[in-house]
Amino acid sequence: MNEQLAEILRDPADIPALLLATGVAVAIAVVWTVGWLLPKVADAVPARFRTRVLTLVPALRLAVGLTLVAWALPKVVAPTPQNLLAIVGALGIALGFAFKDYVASLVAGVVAIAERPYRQGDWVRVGPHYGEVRSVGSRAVQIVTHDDDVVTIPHGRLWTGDVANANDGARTLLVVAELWLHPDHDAEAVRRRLNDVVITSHYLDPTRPFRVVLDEQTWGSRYALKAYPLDARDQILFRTDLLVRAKAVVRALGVRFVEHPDAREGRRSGGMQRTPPSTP
Amino acid sequence: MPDVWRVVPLSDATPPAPTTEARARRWWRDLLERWRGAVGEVDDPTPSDEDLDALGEAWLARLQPRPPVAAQRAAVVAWREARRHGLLLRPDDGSWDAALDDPGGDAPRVVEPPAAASLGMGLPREVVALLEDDDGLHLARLERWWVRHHDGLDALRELLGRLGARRGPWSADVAPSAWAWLRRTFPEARGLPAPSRPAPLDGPALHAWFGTDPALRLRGSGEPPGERTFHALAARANGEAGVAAAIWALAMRDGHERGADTEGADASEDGDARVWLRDPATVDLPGAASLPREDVLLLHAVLLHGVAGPEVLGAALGVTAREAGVTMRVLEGQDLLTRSTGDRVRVAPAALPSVWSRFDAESIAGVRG
Repeated sequence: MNEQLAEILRDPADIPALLLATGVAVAIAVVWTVGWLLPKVADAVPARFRTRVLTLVPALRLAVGLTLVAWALPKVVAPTPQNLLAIVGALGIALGFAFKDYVASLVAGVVAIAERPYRQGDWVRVGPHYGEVRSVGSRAVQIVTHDDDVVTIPHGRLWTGDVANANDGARTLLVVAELWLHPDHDAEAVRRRLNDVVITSHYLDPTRPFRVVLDEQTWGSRYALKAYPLDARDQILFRTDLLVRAKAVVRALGVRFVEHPDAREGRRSGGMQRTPPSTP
Repeated sequence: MPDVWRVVPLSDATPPAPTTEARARRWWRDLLERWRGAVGEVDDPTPSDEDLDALGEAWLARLQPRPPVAAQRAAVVAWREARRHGLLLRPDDGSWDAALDDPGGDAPRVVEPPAAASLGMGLPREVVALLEDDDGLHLARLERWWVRHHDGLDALRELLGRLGARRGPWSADVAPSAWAWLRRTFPEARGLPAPSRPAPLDGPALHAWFGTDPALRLRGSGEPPGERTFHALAARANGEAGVAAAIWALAMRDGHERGADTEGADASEDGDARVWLRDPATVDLPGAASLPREDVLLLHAVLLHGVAGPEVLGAALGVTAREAGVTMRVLEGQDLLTRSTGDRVRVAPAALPSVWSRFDAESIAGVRG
């Protein structure tokens, strides 16, 4: 092994150590200068160019690193065909391991195009992330959450996880607004008033079915207002409108609200109250 | 004329279809409007030719067609006599209002809606008494018996329930958008008869109504308006009489007449005068293509209630009356809404084609019944 390494590397006496050290020092200085200077430039230029300038920092660091390697390698390694072949082979194996997931995502991207588990404009849930698909790239899909976060999810997640698509290419999707009420009440009156809340929402798409359903739990009565908004983008505003007015009619009927057990548990344990999962 | 002004079942009413060229032109105009991000001007009061003067009121009065109320009234009577119970979609453009609001001597009693709908409103006792009688009656403007709010449905619900159970003859009219909403959301509406509507007007029907004034000339060609012009007008107006009349007025206002002084002059005295008419397919109408979505929802709420003030719109949209009033004024400034009575507004007839088109784009479905 040592002999093979000795064959690849130049004679130590031929390696310009001082020059290499100087090159490394210059590269470090350039990288540091880029990291220090460009953020200041980004603050000075018009705001619309700020992010573009900042994205130059990692790109320039990479360019400096690659330049340093390309410059230093011939000075350390004997430039014979065998050596080049060995280096390229080793590099290929390393890159193969490094990009294994990348290639898997590319293949999954092809599968995604064929199976269409999500399309641009769909509202999807992948793991903890829920949002509108902004773009479907060759390697990953980008979704924009309700909090305006852009989440990039590799297509490779298709192999291992579930993808829930709320509208599957349709313009709208089912919205569920839930209320938990004390079980001692006139359910028919509550259901009728909640139905009025649903049909009078200006976001409602009346061409699609809507329902008010009741589910009795040990801790209370769960009402779910299920309806479709005119547009999937209205889902949060629609749910908010339903809940605001539903609470008003429930209060007017004199019915008490109850807490979901998860919320009670969260408060007992001193932690944050967890919003119970929405059940479509 | 009697064949033109008639009431037909909704399923038989087919609006005149625009030509492919007209569709392409409208698509392109809407696209440009989206890019420009501005609503187009309704009209340009500045004459493009220095030799032309603004069209005076006398000319507008001479050239503008008037609703043939007698013919419309006869059509309503014929429609009513053919059925015991009937529901009529009253056009949003107001073109049949005169005939429906004053149905003539032999018509059944008309039950008017309340002056202004309000939350918590119930059905008045006198209306309940009329509904319990078996005498014939006509309920005008069902869309004004409610507010789209969970506390604004009681009167309408009772009215629909009593109508569905009524044995005596009755008829009613309702705004198309309100009917589209009612039939999908109110189980009580299922008991009502299938609606009818005034027959859409095609090009020849409009030509017969508008007539051919010798002073009218088309810009560009200098020819009198012919079948092609009226076909384009009918297609642009979706066959709605009031919309066609509004487009015609804008086409003329864009046009001008030759002569030194025409303001207030007797139009019939100037035999050589010419009124230059724009092609109805290219007249700039108030545009809704680039409106914010919330403004579109307000326009929908106005159509649902026929005419509406800030209180009703605020309740229907979950905003304050003040906020609704601000949006109303903005849309009035864009000529999309027009003042009705007091602080209440309706959608301007000339804006209806653009509003319908935007509703289609927003999947606000079935608003025309």
